[in-house]
Amino acid sequence: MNGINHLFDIETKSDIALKKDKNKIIIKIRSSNFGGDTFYNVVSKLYKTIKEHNLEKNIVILKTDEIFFQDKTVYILLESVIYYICKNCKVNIKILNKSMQVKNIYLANLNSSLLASYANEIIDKNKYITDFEKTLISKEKYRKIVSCGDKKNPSIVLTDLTNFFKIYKINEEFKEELVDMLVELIGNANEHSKSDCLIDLTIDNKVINKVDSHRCIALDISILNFSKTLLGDGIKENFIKSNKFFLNLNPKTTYKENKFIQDLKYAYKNHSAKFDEKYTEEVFFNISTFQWRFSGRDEIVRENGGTGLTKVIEVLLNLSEAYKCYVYSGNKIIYFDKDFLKTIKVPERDKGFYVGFNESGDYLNHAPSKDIIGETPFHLNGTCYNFKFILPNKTRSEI
Amino acid sequence: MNEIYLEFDKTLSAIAGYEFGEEIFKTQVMGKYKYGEKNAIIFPVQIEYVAISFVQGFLKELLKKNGLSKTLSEIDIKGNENFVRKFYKVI
Repeated sequence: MNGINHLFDIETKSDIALKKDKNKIIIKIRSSNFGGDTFYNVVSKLYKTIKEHNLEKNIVILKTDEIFFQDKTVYILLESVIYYICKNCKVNIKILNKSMQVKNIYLANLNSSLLASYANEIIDKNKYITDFEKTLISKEKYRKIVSCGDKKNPSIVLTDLTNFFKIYKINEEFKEELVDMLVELIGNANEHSKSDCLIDLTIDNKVINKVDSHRCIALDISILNFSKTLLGDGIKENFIKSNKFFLNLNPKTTYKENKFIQDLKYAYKNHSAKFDEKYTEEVFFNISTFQWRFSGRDEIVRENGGTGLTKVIEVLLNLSEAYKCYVYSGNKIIYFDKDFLKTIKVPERDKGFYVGFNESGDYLNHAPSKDIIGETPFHLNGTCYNFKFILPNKTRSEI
Repeated sequence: MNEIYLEFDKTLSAIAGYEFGEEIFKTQVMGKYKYGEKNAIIFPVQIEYVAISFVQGFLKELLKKNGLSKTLSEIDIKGNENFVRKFYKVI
């Protein structure tokens, strides 16, 4: 998977003591609740192990009993770290574990997952690499590394996913919006970051709502790419380029700036007064990527930017019974929450919406709510999206 | 009306991707397109879905030269009913 090297191109904790017993380096995962902090601790220890003990005779052992991952994306990130080690390091690796599950909204078993299938033995690196890179398409799973090298790949994924969802009794609008969104996110990763993109989608139509025993469908989707280009970098580049362009422009010249750049600058002026430790400039550019017609492409063409994914996400959340959705890039997380996805029509345009990520829905004049901003100690070189939806399991006549 | 028929890999029933859209325009449309006239661009009926990224890449050159309203007045997208609906929805 191209870009994977950026996963370990990071600063980690420095005050770490490794437990070494002859040729074994034991990393004990004490917390059964595996989220961002635990991930950071584990990666920091693995990083130090590789720096100091990267020899073929050494075995690094990740020791756990039961792991409850906070969501599937954290699990996939751990899978990716092991992939990096298998691909690039001499040291061997073994995971000692009794069970792995994702505990979020409902409990999802990971017994047939890649890491679980390699648990309790020294990982056969070549086999693991092959399995990690393999495309898997079944009734319950769609997993693929979409290479950025072939322009036809987003079309293949769109074709695959529309076929994948045909058998499921899910609202047609939900299916269409979801598939469109996933393909756009993959395309963005390929095009803007010039990196491969991993999509891992699982669907379970046997979930029972304990409150009234009705059947639901659970959809768990992770989309990730590894790259030095972070989520808001394209928009930020265009913002900087535009400021430089105006500095060098003859003041007598009349030049009409692209509408999105005008609005981006207007919003920046209003938001920058509110920047602090939590709401940073980086978060501003991250939320700006979700605005209608805002573009991170090098070449800006009028009336040709994105239509704003948040409108799509809002539709998806409204059709779900429960959800947990976010995007994570660098150290920052933006949560997609129904209460803060209110939109306001784009001024001076016939169509299009800006999303405020705040209670008023006003992006141009008001900063986002602090509730949608999260932070995590591990700096992710890249972007990952986590989408978990619980949907009503509809009969054919209801669709 | 100037008619331009497009061809795609038979395994595809959906098309996506900005760069793929740009490529299809350059290789199959650009040389045949008549500016200032009505152009029917005919997609094969096997293509049922289209993603916005494809449309953006496909229309890039036309939007640069003509702007949105002139482009819309010059093109007539034809093909599978669902495909055509989606194409115009995302512009």
